[in-house]
Amino acid sequence: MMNQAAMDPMQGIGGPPTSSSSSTSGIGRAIFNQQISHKNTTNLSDARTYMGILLGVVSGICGLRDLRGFVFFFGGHVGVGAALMVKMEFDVKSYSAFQSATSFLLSDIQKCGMGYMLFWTLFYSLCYCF
Amino acid sequence: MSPQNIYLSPSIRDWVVLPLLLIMILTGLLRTLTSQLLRSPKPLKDLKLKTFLQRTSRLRSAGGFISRDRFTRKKSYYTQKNTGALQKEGPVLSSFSSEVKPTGGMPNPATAMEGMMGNASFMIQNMIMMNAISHFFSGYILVRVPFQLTEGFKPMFQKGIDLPTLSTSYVSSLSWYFLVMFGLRGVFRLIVGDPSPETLQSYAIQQSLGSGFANAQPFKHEQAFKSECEMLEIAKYRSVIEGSERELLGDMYPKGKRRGKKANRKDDIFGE
Repeated sequence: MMNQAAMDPMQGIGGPPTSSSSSTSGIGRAIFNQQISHKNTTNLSDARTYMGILLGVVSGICGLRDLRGFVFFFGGHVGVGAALMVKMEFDVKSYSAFQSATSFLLSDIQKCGMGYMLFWTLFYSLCYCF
Repeated sequence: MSPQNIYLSPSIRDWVVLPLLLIMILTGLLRTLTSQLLRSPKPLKDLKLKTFLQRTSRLRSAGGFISRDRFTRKKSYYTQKNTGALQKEGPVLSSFSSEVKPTGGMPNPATAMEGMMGNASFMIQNMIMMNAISHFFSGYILVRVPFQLTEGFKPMFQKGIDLPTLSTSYVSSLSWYFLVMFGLRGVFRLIVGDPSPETLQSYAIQQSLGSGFANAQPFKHEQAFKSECEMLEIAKYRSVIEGSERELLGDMYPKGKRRGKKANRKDDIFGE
């Protein structure tokens, strides 16, 4: 993932580099790169889909049922989102199209949930029914 | 009440459950790849004219990033009378006018129907699969969903199985079909992968220029060029660094030129 904020070319000349939250705000202007943004969104979605499938396999093999399975999925999905936020250094707005951490953590939950249920059902049946 | 524990025949797993999953994956891939192959190419000449117009609109919107002199010269290149690139007699339109054939203002029905045909083929395929699966794989349990469903779902999820005492978590082939259909949406994206950068760029261009039914209308290039020329003629130059010293200095920026004996020359950082 790449940060697309274009920084002041004069930054760092004559002294140590200042942080972006200095008093002279307005230095640096974010430039939107559609290709990078699309790639970021794709990577986030793919990571969540992979983890949804993996969580389904794990919960199916472990024999989780009913509410425990759903709580496991919800906790896993939020955990994956939190790990992605750590990777983004908690700057959700710069790297994704989401404006808040909550919307980011809960995004794609339906799509990943359906994949989770498929593999949860499949592996539960394979391990405990056949 | 203790949960029911019914063990199913391994033949159901080997000949129904896993093959159904494989069939669904393969038909989904076939549909995706077929739609990519059958996608009709957009007319290149219209795209070239539209991307040319994008350049002029970028000059209007982001012209403040270049110098005033450059902006003026670019504007003159596009809008100069009789020879400007946006003019009717200019080099761009005159070279394309012989290639772009007028369609008489009639919309292209083939382009309009493309999106609808895609959806229709998906619906038809789903209906055929549903009927085939409920016909060939009915009368027995396929899988057990690991959560309890209410009795209201029994007729739908246990279609063909008339056992009132059977737990609702044991489901038949049709519910397995639905489960696989909804669950594979994310998996298809992982299998098919990302399109190439060139394909993505063409999708982006087509989306920004209008897709689907909007493309059915022919692109009226002369009218578009004329309106773009008029908008560019009235566009004013405004540099992005205008007012940057005020932004930099903030409160220290001098409010106004002070005259007279009360003027404190020490406050005036720009000298006189």
